[in-house]
Amino acid sequence: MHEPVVDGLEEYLAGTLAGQRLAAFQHHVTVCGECRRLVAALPAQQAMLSELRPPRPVGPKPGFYARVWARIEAERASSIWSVFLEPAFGRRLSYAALALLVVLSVAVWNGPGQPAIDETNPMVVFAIDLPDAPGVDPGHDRAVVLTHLVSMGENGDEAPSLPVSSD
Amino acid sequence: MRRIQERDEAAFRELVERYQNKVYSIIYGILRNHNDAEDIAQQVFTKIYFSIGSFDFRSSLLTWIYKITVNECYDYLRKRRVRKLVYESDLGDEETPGMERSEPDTAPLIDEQLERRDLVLKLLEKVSPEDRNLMLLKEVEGHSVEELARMTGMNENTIKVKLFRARQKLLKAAERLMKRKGLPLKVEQG
Repeated sequence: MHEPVVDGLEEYLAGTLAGQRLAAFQHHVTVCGECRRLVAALPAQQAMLSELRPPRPVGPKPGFYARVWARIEAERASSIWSVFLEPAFGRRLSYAALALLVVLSVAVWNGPGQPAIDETNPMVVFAIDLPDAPGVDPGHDRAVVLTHLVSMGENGDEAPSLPVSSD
Repeated sequence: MRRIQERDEAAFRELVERYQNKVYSIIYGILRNHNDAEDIAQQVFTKIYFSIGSFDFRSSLLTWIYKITVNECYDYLRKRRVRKLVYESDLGDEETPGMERSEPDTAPLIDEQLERRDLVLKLLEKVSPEDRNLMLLKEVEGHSVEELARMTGMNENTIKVKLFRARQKLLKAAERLMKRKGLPLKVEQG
């Protein structure tokens, strides 16, 4: 829309716009009120901005680096938590936390659930009664086996083999 | 740069010594006070030290430092304005003049110059930080469009469009401000 001015404005201000581009620029300015107003205001705008140039070369007093370093040390000492505010570290920390969350979620989702209990299988029913795995409580194992053998003998069934502790 | 990002103190020292005059000069140009320039320059390099890890090499180091420096100046100006408002609200009208901490302390600047500088700073506040930095790099630092393209990693046409829009925004902001104050838009050159 304002292409000739957008394209040539900086060169126009520098006084280096020439030839056909200058002609196109000038033509656009004559037909476009908005650009005419802008171009007319630019010398004032440039003069205003030049107010921000320091009047002469300036610099800090000697020992500036030492003062900067002292400030860095002071800031570092003031808060150990500031390390978490460092963008790079903070980003890594966020990724690590996210990764941990994903791993934990997957583990919980796919973890061992409660096995289905087949109550028609006597071995399973029997095992449910055991407080611990065989061998953990030998006394209890022995009592269970004896009870089982007695009940088998009474029914005339063949006793199934059960894991029993060695002692 | 990689050495600084790995917290190599010698490399950081090189960076400070290389850019300290530039940073100080930018701040002094905006604030015109040596104490403030020293304080903010220290703050700028402290910020650079702690955030150097986020520098992504898309723009030049100078452009990145320039952005931090100008942002720090504007943060300072905002805080100073709030402090001044709070302070003035605690004092009567007659007590306020001359009590402000950061009056320019160098050559005897005339009121008109001071007003013009305040006006520029206010106008630059009305545009985005990116536009503000581009305008300052162009008009205050004197960089060409080609240099700006190299420094920012953008192409020349993008720079031209951004400068054009920034100039338009500045002009509109100036017109609004002048209208509010009932003044004509006219600034003396030089």
